[in-house]
Amino acid sequence: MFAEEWPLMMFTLLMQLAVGSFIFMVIVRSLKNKIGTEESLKVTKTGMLLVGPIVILAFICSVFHLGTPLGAYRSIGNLGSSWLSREILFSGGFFLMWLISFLLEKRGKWSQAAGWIASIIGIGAIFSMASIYTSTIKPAWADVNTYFVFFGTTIVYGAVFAIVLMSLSKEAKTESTVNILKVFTVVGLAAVVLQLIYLPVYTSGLVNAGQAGVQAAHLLTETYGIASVVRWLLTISGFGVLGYVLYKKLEKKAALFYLALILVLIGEFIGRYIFYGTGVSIGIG
Amino acid sequence: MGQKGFYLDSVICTGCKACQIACKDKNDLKVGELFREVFSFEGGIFPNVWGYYLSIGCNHCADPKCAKNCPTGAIYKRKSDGLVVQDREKCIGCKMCMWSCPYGRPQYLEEQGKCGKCDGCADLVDQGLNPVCVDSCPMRAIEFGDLGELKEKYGELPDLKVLPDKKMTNPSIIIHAKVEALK
Repeated sequence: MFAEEWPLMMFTLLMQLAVGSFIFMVIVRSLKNKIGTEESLKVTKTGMLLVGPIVILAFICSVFHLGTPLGAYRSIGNLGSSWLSREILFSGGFFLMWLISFLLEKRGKWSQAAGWIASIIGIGAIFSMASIYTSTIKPAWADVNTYFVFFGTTIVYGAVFAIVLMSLSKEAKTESTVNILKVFTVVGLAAVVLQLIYLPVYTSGLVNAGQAGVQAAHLLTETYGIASVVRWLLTISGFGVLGYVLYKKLEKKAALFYLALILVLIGEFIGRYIFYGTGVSIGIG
Repeated sequence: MGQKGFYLDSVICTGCKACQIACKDKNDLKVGELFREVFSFEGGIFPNVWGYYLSIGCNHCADPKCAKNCPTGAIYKRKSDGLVVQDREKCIGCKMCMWSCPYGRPQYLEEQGKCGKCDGCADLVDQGLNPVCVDSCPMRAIEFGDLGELKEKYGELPDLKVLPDKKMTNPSIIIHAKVEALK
């Protein structure tokens, strides 16, 4: 059952990485009163460039989920009721808006409005993505938890990716830019804390959601019990490293930023693996 | 708009699986692909033991989650008789229907790279004939027809221990079940 979900695991993670980091960078660019237009554009330049290719990679991954990949275009055929159709529409829209903002930026006409519109469409994509899973017959997915998990990863990935790329950019950074990065670190951690607060509610809800729910809860706490703990420790320690680097003013140490990035990437990856692994269907019997 | 549906007499069903095989034949299904599946249940302590079978195809639900969630619109509910059918051409094999049906009826057809499901033998129904599962049953335990008429004859679908909550999709099926099967 599991092997076939790899394309979806990569698609959801990559889309959340793209949307999350895009939004954080748009926020940076909106703070031009604090850090100046030129600096805000320059420190986020590499990151903005990478968003599009990440979305393309996500789309390529998603197609491998299909039994008939050449029919992928037909997936927007039921916008009236299918969240999957809406997800593809919003994801495509996000890419298009990214392309527009990117081309405008290349011509030296970065449009903050286009950036915000792309961000909102991106949020729509993540919302639709989560709604696909909440509308299934798998108790582990058909829960508010899915929104926590998907938006959680969007914020966590977005924050860490934006922080690392901005820190590693060659531009000289002012004190206020570093302060913004510190705020982002706190925001990323907050997204983790919110999920952890909801976790007990989620788990106890599963126990009361019939046989499939009980099975999912068992998988979560027993089979994937250790993995679940490791998953949170990795993500949290990633932000720990970032916080340490930023507060101790060790910005020159690129290796530490890469370490933080890898810790968070792996932490969320394991989290997503567990998410798919706990997707037990209700059924006859 | 009418609603066609199935009646299953689980009390007389012997679990011979003729319906399952007839369905497989009609739909040219490969190993492991079952549009209609016969489930068996047993329990009790000797000498008070019990057992029963449930033959379940698509329940042509009033609120079919599979059709709602299908991204291509390949699965849809026929206006004329409420059968939940599929346009196989449109399917892209995303398996969303399989994540949606609480009865686990949509199947992934490996060779085609698409999903498929029981369509109540819509082609036969259009000719005024029965679905093959109905006609193949040696016990005459399956009936197909207008759901309203079936309800008049057999009453409502009772809550069974082994079936998902019927409020999820409002299945168009009525089951005559043994006492042990009832909630």
